[in-house]
Amino acid sequence: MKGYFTARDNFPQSIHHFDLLLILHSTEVFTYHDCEDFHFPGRGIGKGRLYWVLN
Amino acid sequence: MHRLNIRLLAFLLILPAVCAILPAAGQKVCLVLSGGGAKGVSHIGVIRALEENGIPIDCIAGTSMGALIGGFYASGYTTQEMAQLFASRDFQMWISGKMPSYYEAYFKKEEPNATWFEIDMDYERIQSTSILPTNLISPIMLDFMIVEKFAPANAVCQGNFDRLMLPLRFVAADVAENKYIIIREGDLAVGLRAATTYPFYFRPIRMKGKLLFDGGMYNNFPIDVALEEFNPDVIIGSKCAGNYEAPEEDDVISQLQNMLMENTVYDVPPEKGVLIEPELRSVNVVDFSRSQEFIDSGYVATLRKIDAIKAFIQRRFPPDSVTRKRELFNHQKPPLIFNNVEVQGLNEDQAQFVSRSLMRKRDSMTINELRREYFKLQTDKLFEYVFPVALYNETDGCYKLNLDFKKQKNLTLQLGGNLSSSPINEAYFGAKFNLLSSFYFGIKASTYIGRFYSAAQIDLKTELPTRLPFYLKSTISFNQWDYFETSTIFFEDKDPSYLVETENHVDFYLGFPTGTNAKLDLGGGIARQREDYYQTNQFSSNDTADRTYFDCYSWGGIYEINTLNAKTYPSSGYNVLLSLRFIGGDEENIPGSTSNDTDFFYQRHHWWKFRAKYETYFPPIGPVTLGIYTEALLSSQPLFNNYVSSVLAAPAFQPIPESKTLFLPEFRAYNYAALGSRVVYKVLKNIHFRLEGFAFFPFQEILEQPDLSAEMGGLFESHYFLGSAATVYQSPIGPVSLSVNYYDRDVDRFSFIVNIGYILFNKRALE
Repeated sequence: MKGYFTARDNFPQSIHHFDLLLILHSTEVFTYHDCEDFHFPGRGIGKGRLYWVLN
Repeated sequence: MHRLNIRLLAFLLILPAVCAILPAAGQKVCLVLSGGGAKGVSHIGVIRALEENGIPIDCIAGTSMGALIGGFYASGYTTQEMAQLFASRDFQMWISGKMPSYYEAYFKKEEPNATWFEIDMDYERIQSTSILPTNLISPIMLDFMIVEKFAPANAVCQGNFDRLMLPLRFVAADVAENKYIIIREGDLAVGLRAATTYPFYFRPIRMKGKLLFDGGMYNNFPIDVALEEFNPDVIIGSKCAGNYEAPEEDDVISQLQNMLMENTVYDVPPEKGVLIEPELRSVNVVDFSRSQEFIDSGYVATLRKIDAIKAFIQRRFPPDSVTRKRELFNHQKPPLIFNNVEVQGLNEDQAQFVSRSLMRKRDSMTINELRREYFKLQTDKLFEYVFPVALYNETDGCYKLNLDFKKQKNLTLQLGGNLSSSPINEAYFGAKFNLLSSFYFGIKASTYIGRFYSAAQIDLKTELPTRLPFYLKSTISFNQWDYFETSTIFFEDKDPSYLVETENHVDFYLGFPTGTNAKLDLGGGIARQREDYYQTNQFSSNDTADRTYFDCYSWGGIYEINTLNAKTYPSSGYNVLLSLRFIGGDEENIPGSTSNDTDFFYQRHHWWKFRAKYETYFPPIGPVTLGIYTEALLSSQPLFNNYVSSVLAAPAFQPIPESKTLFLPEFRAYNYAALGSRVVYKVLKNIHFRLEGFAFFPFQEILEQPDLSAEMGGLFESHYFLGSAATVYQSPIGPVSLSVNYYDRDVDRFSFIVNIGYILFNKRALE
């Protein structure tokens, strides 16, 4: 089973959300699969959705 | 012939390629923007992502916030300009209906008093069964912003929205007919204001005789309007709202929302285009504090769909082409210069007052000059409502400002006071009567009723709209402060009060505004001060108190700049005060039964007094704001007959609210300097914690002699500290504070006090 968490799609908060989500994914229930990177012009790279698969 | 054949052959060869390209080149792309209140700023991110990827936008249809964002884009604003505007503090102030203090004309403001709320007295309204206000938020700031932002584009398109940078359509709700109407022409600013009138939040306005509200009530995603008006080949929809959930029995808001808003189908047919749905958290319809977050979400959601969009639209419009198109449009915008004001809804004299106050005998004025005068005019709340429209006149290249007024009721009642854990409770009542003609005249009667402080005061003020504005004001004031010896906090163990101060005075001042936040008052007055006191703590109920009268006159000037954001416990802005005053008068002392003196004492005094005060709050660093406070007082004031009367006649250093309610001889002197600092930690939007510390340096302390007379101490021999830690909630009616205060003195060094309301008194005669 696959799914995604959203990291609120905004910069720079998304980075903090993303860190938090990665911690959640260190459990053995979900496996981190992929995540979206978005370049916010003039500000940097922010994270979008974080995709997971159920183990 | 041969040449013709080659041309024919070439044409036949090119034809299929041209046929393949033409539909793509001719593809008309329409952007449809849904309503959604504050969440609607996500459309800015959508447009930015489309622009960056070269996706052409040929026309826009929008509802509510979608109409406003579409309106900005079609009027030549860049996504960056829009993002800056919606994320700015100014915009959040406009949308909340609160006027930033830097726009409020300080000279028009009342002296600070303990008002919690005001009631406009209106016979018709009392009779009427409708008690609900028409709007919760004052639209004055927003209305002016809309005029300022859209009048130039309106001048270019001359009321035809097809002639904007992009053709634009939006919808508004006609509640009389229960249907939405499409707005495609007329005054762009008026149309957008009508289309964004969220029911109850903003006051509805009329357009062509119809009372219009937010179009989202009947059509929150105008894809049908886009199809009907533009017949586009491709639609890119941006959706930032959904239908409301079914109402609950005990949730009035959800019931109202369901009654007001018809369900909308948020859908773009898959063969017609793409729907972008940013992931947005739910917020209040006017909460723009998360604008940047929402813009980012719109941007990201669009990038996720960008491949699908590119598959639909083969045509590309490079970002620099958009920039060129925008520059061409913006180049046609006439600058906002106003040379005429037309007033409706007021009589001739009142209209003259308004237009003179705005134009100040100038031939023309820029938008910045107009904005300053416009908000100045709104400061004293003479008008319940004013709706501005800017009309461009091609012949002289200037705009005319058309103002439609609704006059405020003449009579306003004020109610307020202070509830306290210490015995300084007071109630405040005020009644203001405003008369507007070719000049302004206001009369106000107010009273404080409490055990510690009671007062009655009449204020008269008149203001003339001359080129150099000025006002005349006069005050007749009766005040009494009854200090308690007790420092009991929660229950009162009332000893005989040992000090009662009475002060009655009449003042007359001529004032000049010297900037939006500054004023200079010149004038003077006469006063009678009476103090009843015991010079010792050893007295019984049979004793009579000493009494000192001081009948005096004073004249001088006060210059003040004030941008502080609150009457008490401010957290931003600054205050400068310079005052120079000459005081002359007769001291008369009638000894009481515990006095060492037995004879009447009489002496004439006169002195100069100069006071300078500066307090400021620096820009916040995260949740923390630092502030400093400095004050200096220099005077040639002589000592009075005895120690208590000398101290009572001395100016007091009272930097925190509670210190105004205590008789603190240590913090009174004829010459002093004081220094303080403040740290304000913002806990929540309206709650802050503050820590304040002050050092008070009397140049010469007033010392009590064994015979109870006074003597000046040595130069710079003493200093005293004063500190306060307080948690303050700035509630809609006034501050709720919980504070622990420290006073550097022999007894009762600490106090703990809870207050709901304002610890404020009428201005004193010699202050």
